[in-house]
Amino acid sequence: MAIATRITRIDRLTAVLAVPLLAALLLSVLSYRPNRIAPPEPRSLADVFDGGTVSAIIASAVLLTIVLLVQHRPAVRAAIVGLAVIIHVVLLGWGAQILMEGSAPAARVSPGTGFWLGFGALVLLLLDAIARLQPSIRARAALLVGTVAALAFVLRSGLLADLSLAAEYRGRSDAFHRATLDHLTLAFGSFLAALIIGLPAGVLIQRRRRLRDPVLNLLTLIQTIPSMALFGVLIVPLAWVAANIPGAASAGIRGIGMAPALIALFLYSLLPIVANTVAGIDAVPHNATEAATGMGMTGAEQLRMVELPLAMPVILAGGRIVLVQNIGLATVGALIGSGGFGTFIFQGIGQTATDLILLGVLPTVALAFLASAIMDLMIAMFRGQSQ
Amino acid sequence: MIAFEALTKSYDGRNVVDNVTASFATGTITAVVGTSGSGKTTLLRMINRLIEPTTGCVQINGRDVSELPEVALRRSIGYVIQGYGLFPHWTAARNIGVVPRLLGWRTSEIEARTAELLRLLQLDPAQIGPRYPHQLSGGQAQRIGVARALAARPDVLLMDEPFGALDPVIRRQAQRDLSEIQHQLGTTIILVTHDMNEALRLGNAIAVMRDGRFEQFAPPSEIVCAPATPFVAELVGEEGRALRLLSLTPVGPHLRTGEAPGDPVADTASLSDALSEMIWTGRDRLPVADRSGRRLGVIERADILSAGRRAAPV
Repeated sequence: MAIATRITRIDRLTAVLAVPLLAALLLSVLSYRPNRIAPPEPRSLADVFDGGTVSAIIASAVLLTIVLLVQHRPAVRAAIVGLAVIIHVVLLGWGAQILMEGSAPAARVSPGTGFWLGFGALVLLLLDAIARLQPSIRARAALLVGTVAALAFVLRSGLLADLSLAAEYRGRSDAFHRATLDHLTLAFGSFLAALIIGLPAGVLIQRRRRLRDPVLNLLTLIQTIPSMALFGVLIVPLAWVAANIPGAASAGIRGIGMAPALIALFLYSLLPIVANTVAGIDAVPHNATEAATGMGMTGAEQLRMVELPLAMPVILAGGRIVLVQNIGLATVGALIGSGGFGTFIFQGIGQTATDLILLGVLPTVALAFLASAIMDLMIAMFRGQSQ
Repeated sequence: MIAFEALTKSYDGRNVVDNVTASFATGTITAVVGTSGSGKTTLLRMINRLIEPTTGCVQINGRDVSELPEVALRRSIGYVIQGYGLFPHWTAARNIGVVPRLLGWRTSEIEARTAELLRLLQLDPAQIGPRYPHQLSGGQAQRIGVARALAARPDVLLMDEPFGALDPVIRRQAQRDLSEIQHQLGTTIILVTHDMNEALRLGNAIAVMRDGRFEQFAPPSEIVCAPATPFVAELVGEEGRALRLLSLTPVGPHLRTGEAPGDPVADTASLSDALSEMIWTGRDRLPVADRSGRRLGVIERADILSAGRRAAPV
């Protein structure tokens, strides 16, 4: 009886995640390559650290697992796991430094399976603890800012300077900054353009029922065109525009480059924005719109004061889809010379240099996460008022 | 004064409102009673032009509403709908101030008016004003709906089943409050309801509607004493007709001079209240007092009984 109660008191998520968390200790924590395109050689904890440190790491991991199995208070769990994440990253930097000492400058060290497994398990535990805390909107915003600041601090501190990714970055910092700017322009520029066109279009077809199906069908059709095909299709007409319309070429419009990529991303953005605007306004309570009309609001006042604010969470949910989708799709634009993080990915594929690919992938993923989190916060702010 | 001139609305050749001619006196409550589909809501919505008549017209103080600008007309008429239609993303105070804001009042005026209305409806401005609709009880939301309709001091108030969503106890209170407010402000109210008891309680005049026509348009006592058609009689109900009539008549006009022992009844109480008190306390005559407690005279049981008789003067 007593044992049964003890078992139900054990934290279930920890019980599941204990497996990868402890298995991570036995796997390769770092991988070592004599040069950037050589095959990786696994390095276990014992290969990297001295005996005392290894024992300390294993002991702390086991202790952490046991504490998390029985400790249920979310605040305590969040603090402990947060500390564990920091130690995990510090150990990564330290281990890389140890391996690089006495190696040739061409040698590369990158995180191994064990690191990623442990890191993934810890992040899941951290997110779970934070979710259980049920933070207010303000606390979530603070947490987001804090995470971004911590990430920036770690990257600037030189803690991870010995990792292969940092080495790739050092050789290309100018190109990286240019790619960041291009990527942001592609993702957010097309998003803004889609908002400017899509929002009024959504309002229009919400009001004119006969236009609704043709417009939504057309946008759905566009959505089904593979991105590579759409980029390709746009090259011909844009090249023609550049050659024949005065001023177009000097404004940066060419068959390849930024212009076709922006247009393609804009087209992909329209469906989520337009469809969610229609759905959002449709979902406004009928007696709120009846009251608005009955009290003498003009159509424009009703839209501005009642319908758009109430539809905003749904419209922003469409915006979140668009941003995340565009940040991902913008990488493909590199194929037609639009710049952005995709440049590193395709270069890396060409050179079979995994680190270079990661230099394109990791910031893309981080940017998508960040955009999604910010949009989530905005949606929660709009919802918070009316519920 | 609001007047309907041969007002008709038809959908697909069927007359939902069928050639209604009637007028409603300024400063009174008219209750339009009918079953669902009788055309009563359509009738109401033609007054503020949410629906345009097929033929005929609506006049307010002698002016055809179809000649007035729609938006200005609606802002000058209070409108309360079933479920109230409060804007869920605005606080109670902001909901109340919506029409004044549309009319371009100064912020300080809007705030003062909002607080005044909240107090008029017995709500604490500091406590209820900042709440969002989902934080209000049903009774509070109903009162915010009424306050919002009254915000720009309209002369006319249209109400479509305004008490439909309230439980019986709160509904009685809300009805009393509405009577009280109408008395204070002198607003002309047209109220649509399917509940004959509500109509009898609130209306100075009652229009019974069926298939788009007025079956009877008369004061409540006449509706009870002399139903014009079997349908009206059925809505009123044959049972307890005398008691219902007594409940519509105040004690005041039936006073006699004299004195009687025991607790007094108020002069505004109905004859049925007085009779009930007589039965309960075993008395044949009760002293009557006004609101300040001054004795006005007595009410006799025999007078009450004759007031409830079929041929009684109204």
